[in-house]
Amino acid sequence: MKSFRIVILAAFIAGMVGLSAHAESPASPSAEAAVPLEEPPAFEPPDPETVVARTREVAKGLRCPVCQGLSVADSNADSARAMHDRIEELVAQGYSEEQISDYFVDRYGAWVRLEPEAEGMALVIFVMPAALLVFGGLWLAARGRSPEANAESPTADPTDYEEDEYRKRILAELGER
Amino acid sequence: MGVNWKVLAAGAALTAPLVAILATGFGKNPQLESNALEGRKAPVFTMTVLGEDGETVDLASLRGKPVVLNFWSTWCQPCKIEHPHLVQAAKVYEPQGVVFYGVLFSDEPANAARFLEREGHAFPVLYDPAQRVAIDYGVSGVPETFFISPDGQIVEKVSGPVSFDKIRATLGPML
Repeated sequence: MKSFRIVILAAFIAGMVGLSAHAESPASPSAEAAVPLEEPPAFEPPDPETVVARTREVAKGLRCPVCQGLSVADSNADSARAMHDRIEELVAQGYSEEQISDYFVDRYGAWVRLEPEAEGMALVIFVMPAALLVFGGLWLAARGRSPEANAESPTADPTDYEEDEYRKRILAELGER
Repeated sequence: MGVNWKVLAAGAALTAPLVAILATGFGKNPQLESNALEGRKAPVFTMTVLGEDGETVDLASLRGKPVVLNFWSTWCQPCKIEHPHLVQAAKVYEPQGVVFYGVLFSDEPANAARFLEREGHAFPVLYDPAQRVAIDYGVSGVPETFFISPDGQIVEKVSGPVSFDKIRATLGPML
């Protein structure tokens, strides 16, 4: 059972190290990297109501570059307004939300997205809590079934109740009052 | 009560990667370190030259010459610090074929004219009223300086005030 727990721990650490190694080498743009807006628009130019709605959606997902934690949609800074106008223009030409978002990431870097995508370094942050939960659960399950763990438990044997160290200490402390 | 070293070691092993990642992430400002365009083709632009009665500059026409493109504004204190360095560099390197341009960012032309009259003027300033060029270059604040090679690639982007020494070091291999 002990070896099973070691396997679980080793698998978890190996997984995290693997993710970290992957995170160290995110795809970096090169001279040959595609410039998204050299692609044709994904859609026909939409109607004005759709332009407003899509512009709002894209602007909500992009960071105002000169603000602290504000989206383009929520900021009145000159730069945010300029980005908003650019988004609106691109939406009106038929570019999709993904194409526009990719264009801004292409120019500013991944930080311009308000919510990071689950890739590169951010992937570890996304995966770690779930992985901890799963591996922790397996660990506890393995530990619960282990005879040695039960033997180590101070209250595992009900016949030892009178001899329980914790009980003795509590009674002793209560008696001192 | 003794420390359970096995549990402590397992806990440390589990949390160490997360702590390392967070420490790395909090230790730097991705906005300042972003170099999304370095090593790539400089976005083309056509902008009007301030105070030159509608004269325009087209980046494509500058092919074959190193270009220093400096985004700045009059309300930006670091821009005031770097201004003498840029003026000095322009005086030294323009005779060697380097082209210097300022791009006014989120500011009024009249403010720029007053600033340049007061602080000295060594190279043309371009006007980008809708920040179209600033967005194409991913400018997230001023000052930012782009060094463009004679074949039109962005060699380096400097966020924050640029010094004469930095300009000399970056232009050196291009001359």
